Amino acid sequence: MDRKSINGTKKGKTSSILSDSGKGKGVRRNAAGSKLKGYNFTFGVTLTVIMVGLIILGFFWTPYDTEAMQGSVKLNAPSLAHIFGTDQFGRDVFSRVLAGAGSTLMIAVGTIVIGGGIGILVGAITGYAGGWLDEGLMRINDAVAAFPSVLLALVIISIWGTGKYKVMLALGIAFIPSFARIVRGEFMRCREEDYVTSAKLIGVSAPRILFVHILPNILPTLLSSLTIGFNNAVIQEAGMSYLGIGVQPPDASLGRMLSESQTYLASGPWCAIFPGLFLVLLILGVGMLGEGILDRFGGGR
Amino acid sequence: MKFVLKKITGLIIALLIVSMLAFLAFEVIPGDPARSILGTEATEAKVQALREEMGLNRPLPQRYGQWVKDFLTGDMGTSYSYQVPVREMIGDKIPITITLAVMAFFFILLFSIPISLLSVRYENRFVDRFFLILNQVTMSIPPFFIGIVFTFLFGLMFQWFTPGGYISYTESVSGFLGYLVLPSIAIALPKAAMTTKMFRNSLITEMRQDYVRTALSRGNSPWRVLVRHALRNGILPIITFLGMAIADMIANSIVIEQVFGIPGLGRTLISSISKRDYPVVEAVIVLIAVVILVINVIVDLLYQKLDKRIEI
Amino acid sequence: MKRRVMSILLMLTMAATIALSGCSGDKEKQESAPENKLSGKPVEGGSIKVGISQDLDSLDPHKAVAAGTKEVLFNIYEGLVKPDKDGNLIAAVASEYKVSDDAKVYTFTLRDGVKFHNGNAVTAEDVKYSIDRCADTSNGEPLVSAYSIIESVNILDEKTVEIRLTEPNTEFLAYMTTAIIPKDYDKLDTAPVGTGPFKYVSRSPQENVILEKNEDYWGEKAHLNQVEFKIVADADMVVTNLKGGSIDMAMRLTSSQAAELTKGFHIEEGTMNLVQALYLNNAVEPLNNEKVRQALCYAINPDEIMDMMSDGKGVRIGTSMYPGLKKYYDDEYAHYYEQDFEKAKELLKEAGYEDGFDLEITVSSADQPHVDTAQVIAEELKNIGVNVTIKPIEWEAWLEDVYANRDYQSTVVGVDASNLSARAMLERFTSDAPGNFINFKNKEYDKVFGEAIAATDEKEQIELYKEAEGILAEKAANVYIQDLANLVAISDKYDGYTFYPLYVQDMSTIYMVE
Repeated sequence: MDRKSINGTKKGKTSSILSDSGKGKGVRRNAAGSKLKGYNFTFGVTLTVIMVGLIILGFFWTPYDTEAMQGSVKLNAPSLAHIFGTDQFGRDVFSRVLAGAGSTLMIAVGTIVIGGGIGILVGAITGYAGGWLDEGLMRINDAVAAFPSVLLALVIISIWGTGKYKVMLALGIAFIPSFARIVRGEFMRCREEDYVTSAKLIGVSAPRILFVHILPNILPTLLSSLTIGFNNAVIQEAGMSYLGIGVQPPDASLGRMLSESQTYLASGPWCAIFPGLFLVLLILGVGMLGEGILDRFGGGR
Repeated sequence: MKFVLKKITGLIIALLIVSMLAFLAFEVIPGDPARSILGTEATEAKVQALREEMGLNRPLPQRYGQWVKDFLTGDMGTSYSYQVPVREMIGDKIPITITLAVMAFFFILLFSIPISLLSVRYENRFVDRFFLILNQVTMSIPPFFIGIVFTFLFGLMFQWFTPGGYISYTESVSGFLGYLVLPSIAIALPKAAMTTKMFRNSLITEMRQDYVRTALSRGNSPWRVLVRHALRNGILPIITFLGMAIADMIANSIVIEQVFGIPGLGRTLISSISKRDYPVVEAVIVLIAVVILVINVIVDLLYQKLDKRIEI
Repeated sequence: MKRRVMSILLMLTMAATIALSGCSGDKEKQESAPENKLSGKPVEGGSIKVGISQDLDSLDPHKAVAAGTKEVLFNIYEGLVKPDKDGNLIAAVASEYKVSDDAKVYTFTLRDGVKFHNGNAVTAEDVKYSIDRCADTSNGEPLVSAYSIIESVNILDEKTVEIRLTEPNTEFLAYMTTAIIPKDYDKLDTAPVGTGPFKYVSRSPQENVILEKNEDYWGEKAHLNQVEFKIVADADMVVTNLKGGSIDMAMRLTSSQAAELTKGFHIEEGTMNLVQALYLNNAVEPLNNEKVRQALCYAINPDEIMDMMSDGKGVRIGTSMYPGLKKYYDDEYAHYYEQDFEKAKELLKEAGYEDGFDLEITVSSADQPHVDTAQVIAEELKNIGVNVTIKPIEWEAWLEDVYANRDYQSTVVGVDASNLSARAMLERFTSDAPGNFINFKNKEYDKVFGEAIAATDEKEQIELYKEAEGILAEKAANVYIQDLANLVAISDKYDGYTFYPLYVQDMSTIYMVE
């Protein structure tokens, strides 16, 4: 087995966190026949813009105070006054969904900034350099990837206390390995390419080759894995908050809303449905955006 | 062979790092297991006596060394909070989480293979489009939200199952498996959607290969070609994904265990962390890591082997 | 909102541990309306599933610390005496007891026909073994701290055991609830054997604990054949599990949870038997200033907190004593401070904090009622210029930082009593008490408390205890809030729930109805 087939392996096998990105790329290209594919980008962009727009709007304005309790409207069904209904304390579910999604958005962005940033750096260096550095970092990478992210989060929270920045940090660290692995695979592939070889020959410095020559070439793959990372961060954050180890009050959180809503499933299902639906739409939009990027810009390589 | 050896060495190194990280983690987080056991009633002297008894006053490297030694001989220590051997305690929980993951895996295949075949057979027709959209949406739903919806629909409305009414496998195997159906579907659905998508694409690629055309031109029916020839080859590229899916489901089973009140490994892990029951935490983490890393290695090896076959 | 009630339990548990299990709500009588609601007739037999929020910390009654554990073990084990629902100590394994005039010798006569669950009769040897085990100091400290004053445990004859103390103690009987276990039995951790109305059957970690009726019980036998305590770790699942039928009963619900259970369940209301307060570290600036502490008392309105948290349920209190300990409870302290922002500001001014100050409230994040309380307090204190930051931490960290190291400014927590004596609540506030996590140091308090425990006349003793309680209120040792409401939901298939003035769940009184 030659080196290339190992590279292929790595590419195919992204870590658990980014698990759906690894699907054989070649396969995707050949399958671009479906006409629906063309809509991915358009639809993804539209939905993402709407959802993120709503969330950003929520940073500045919500129809009601997210914490204001109104005894008179406990567990009211959706109406014109409260489009997503009200919860067990008479709080407006829509306002709380916006605020909760705000935390989620910040955490997901923070996670991919930390995880993506460090992961890209590690992946680029190891993928390009190879050798013992590659081996060493990848072993650590494997270990971190095998360390349950929930535990990692608990450790970080136990040391520095709770709060959304801690969750961000925990998830960010947990996401490094998967980014590193994808980027490493891409850089390994690219370093054998002609344009890199010729750049080397004319004496271009390594950092320049890494970030000026190679990086743009893998941008579509990278962007699409960032969108997948974003979605996974959203799901993980919601899951952790659902378990009560993520975002803590007074910060709002969709995961916690979902958890609390379980008590009121029978008398106020909207408390569960709308936060959940909001999550799904956000993930759907960003997911299709990622697909769209690959469809539109990724085919060239 | 060299490749295999290298992989296995890597696995052992990674395991050592994982177990060391776990040890270190407990060194730095606040909270003392002895105090946690004794509660507020404890005086300093009591706490110190218990720490001594638990061996917590020995230096970290010594404790770690002892732990590795014991672990290798199959002794995972004794749970601080349950006073039973960790091996016994975890031994009871592993089957639960593994069964959940295996059932979920089964559902992934059950959903994704027929749908993929159908989609490919009728590529770009209504069925295909319908499933493309359904897939895209399904893979965007967090499993625990599916769990909540299931609880609402099948638990409270239709009363097909009792929320929280987990039945132990020691009590009734069929009851146990029955209770795990909905949780495993909840974890399986998003992954099944991803699998379907990849599988469909992979199959379409296969269907354009020369050998398929040859088979078709010899008068074989499209279904027969699809199932007999394309299916086998088309499944290769998604094997890695399926491997990772199992590992992923084991590591992340904790949330779904919470939704359905299943006392599996995940719940044990969380409660042990908060009780500072280090021997249990350490063992669970290492076991999860073993599963993930071993699956990684198997997937690597498998992929390499398949890769070769493809090249040939 | 009650994310993890578990924590409540825990809190209680530990927080209170010194006190461990508390006492009782006397509210049950007036508020539990269920008796007349159910028309069904009691039926013998059947089984029940009870949701508990955390797993047991030990099956060994002498080592168990968590209140959540003791409430379960109450059904398996008994002491020489045991508490009844009115807060009295009644004879259990012993049929009678005698206290010498100098309160230094306690003599117990064993009840005839009391058998352990393994079929053996309880002997004087077993009793001596059990008490000695808890008094053993070879590990540095006795398992039951109060047993350090035991001089000797003597077997007078096969039915009589005498306990000699090194100093007089009129309240020592309250400590004789310590479980009696078979001599030299070493499997308590995994196969407990006691004398209670229920026998241990099995346990699965993080899953359940199963008990069955003890047919040979010496007293009034249980009605149910089997009780399963099921761990429902996530408080958000409790209502769903009740409705779905995987559990039949759950304790310590919030009022919004209870409001969901309108069909098929009845709700019994009692109190949790604990003192919830904003506990103040009396040793740090500016809380070492009595006027500052009083200002906080004037600014905080317990009624408002109860309204916000539980629709007004709960009992307002004003000192470290809750209503369940009827004998020692004095209602007059509950309204010692009435909300008055002007007065509060004036006091702050006198203390030199005219512009207010920053206050950090550390609270166990898992304990929703305490977190909620802290939030209401933060709002209230804004009125007098005190700027509150809430610092949520894990319970384990709370134990370490706040309780053990006393490294905090203020905290909201609930403290309960380990037995039915006033001492269990009040001793911790003496200057040198190990559990004095608020660093309250007051010579007068020490003196009054010292006189109280030395008093041999019960009436006098009660007066002295009340005086001590008064000092805590007057000096504003803490900002006292409430004894939290305890809402218990029980399926309409069952009835007979009994509240105790301690942190216990007596399953033997519960029966099925037709």
